[in-house]
Amino acid sequence: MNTRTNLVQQKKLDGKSTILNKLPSLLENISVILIVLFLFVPIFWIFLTSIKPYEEAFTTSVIFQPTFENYMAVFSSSFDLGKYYSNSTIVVIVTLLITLVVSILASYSLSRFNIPGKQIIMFTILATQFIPLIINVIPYFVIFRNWGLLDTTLGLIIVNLGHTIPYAIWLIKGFMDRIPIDIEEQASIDGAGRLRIIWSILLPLAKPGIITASVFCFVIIWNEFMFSLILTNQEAVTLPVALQFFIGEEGVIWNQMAAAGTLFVLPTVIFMLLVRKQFVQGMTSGSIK
Amino acid sequence: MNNRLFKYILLIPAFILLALTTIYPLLRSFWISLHEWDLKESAEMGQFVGVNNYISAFSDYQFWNALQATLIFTVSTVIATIVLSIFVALLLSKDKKHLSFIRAVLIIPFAVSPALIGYSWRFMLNPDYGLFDKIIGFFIPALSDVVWLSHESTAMIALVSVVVWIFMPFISLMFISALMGMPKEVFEAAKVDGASSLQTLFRITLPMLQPIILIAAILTTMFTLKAFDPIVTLTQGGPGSSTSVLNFFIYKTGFRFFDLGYSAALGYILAGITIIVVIVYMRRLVKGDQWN
Repeated sequence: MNTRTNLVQQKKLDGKSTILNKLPSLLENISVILIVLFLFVPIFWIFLTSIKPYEEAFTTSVIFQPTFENYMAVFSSSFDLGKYYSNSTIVVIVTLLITLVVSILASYSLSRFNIPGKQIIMFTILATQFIPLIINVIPYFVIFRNWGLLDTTLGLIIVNLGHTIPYAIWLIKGFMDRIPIDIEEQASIDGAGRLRIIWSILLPLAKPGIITASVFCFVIIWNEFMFSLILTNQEAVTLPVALQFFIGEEGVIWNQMAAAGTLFVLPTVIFMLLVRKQFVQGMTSGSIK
Repeated sequence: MNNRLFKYILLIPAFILLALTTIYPLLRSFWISLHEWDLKESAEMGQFVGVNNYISAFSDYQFWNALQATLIFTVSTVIATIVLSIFVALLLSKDKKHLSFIRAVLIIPFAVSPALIGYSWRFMLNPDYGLFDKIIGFFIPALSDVVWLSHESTAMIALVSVVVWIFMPFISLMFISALMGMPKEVFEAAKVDGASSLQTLFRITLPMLQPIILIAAILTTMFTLKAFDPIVTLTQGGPGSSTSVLNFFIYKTGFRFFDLGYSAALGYILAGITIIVVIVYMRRLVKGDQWN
């Protein structure tokens, strides 16, 4: 992208021909502020509630003595956030590792070789995601009950794999398609083996795609709610489902739920900000193809 | 290594995993949908009843209710998301410093767990201590006493708003990257020809965005038909069954009433609806390509 010329052209345009310039720019700025408020006040409010003392949690006051006692409380034995955090982490790491290995191999094959019915294969892989996953939860529930996999992290890893592999294949293949094949041919003339070419030439080049896929799959698994709600109940509960434990008979302990929620979303927010550009590009171009 | 075998060996691990984790449960679920199976009564699958479970859906008023809720929910969510996202994208796609900062943080809401968002909106919509009621009451006093989650129509409005809140940032980013990638010459030419900004919007910008709009519509429709977390955490399908959309109704039938056979059949009906909708969109998308 030639950003510099774009910038210059854009500057020229900003004067008159952009779409909303007829409306007073005041109105435009107000709209921008409203959008930002709509999107960020809820997130800000979660954080603010998380540092409120109990008495202030059920008010809309913004002036209070901030406290970290909610954060301390969620790690106590009555809630045990550490356990749910480690459940979520185990599920995410194992699922992600398996997803990446098998998806990179499959994407390479689909991107580089002539495979009969390739279009149909790609569409079928995607089509599995059109189907509402609640259908699959029913047999999983039955199978896991018979095998003793209900309420285990292993069970969650198995169901998540079916969810992440299709997205990872689509994203990574899209990136691999853009890497010129000549580079590999050169290496193969120099005598490098196939796996070596994948490992030391293609992987570094496809890194942006692999990172995008990892982040996307991370967000899917980390936030995954339905499988965890139905297939676990105590031991293997992950973070999003654990939030409901703050809803007790006397009502909801909002300030502690907010503290747990803040700790829960922190990793995803950080990851997202790190790979934002690649992510949007990857998703947009991936979905156009 | 033999090239011919190699390419299939690479595919095998992914295919085996997909077959075991997606295809097999799908087939097994279909088999269950052809049987009577009340988990409260028996741990074993009951009698084979053929398509009976599918037929009984059509005489089940709760199914029709769920279908109606799904229709209202999906159509309003998709339209609101697309219109708002285009609006947001038009506002944010200009080359200004503060806008580029907002674009940078726009991805954050996409990262926040929908379950947490559902809970926190429930918190904010509480009539006694909720922030939202205070804000809206300040601007529009007539709305200050509305208990959003306890009336059928307002609960649906709240649910749609929350789901739009979840999808809008990402869909906006898609439109923003499309708008920023558009050739500037076209807009300059329009300006030279003396087109008003509304004319430019409807004659140039929107037609050029059309393929992205369709893709955004496909994604949003698919996501909305599968929406689950916000419903469980925000409304629990209520009040009454006003926000009990098909996906949630399937969950309720299967895992609260334990009617597995019927639940599986309902799942396939929803799958059928989703596939039909996607095919309709896809055909428009393909047609659009031929115009270019």
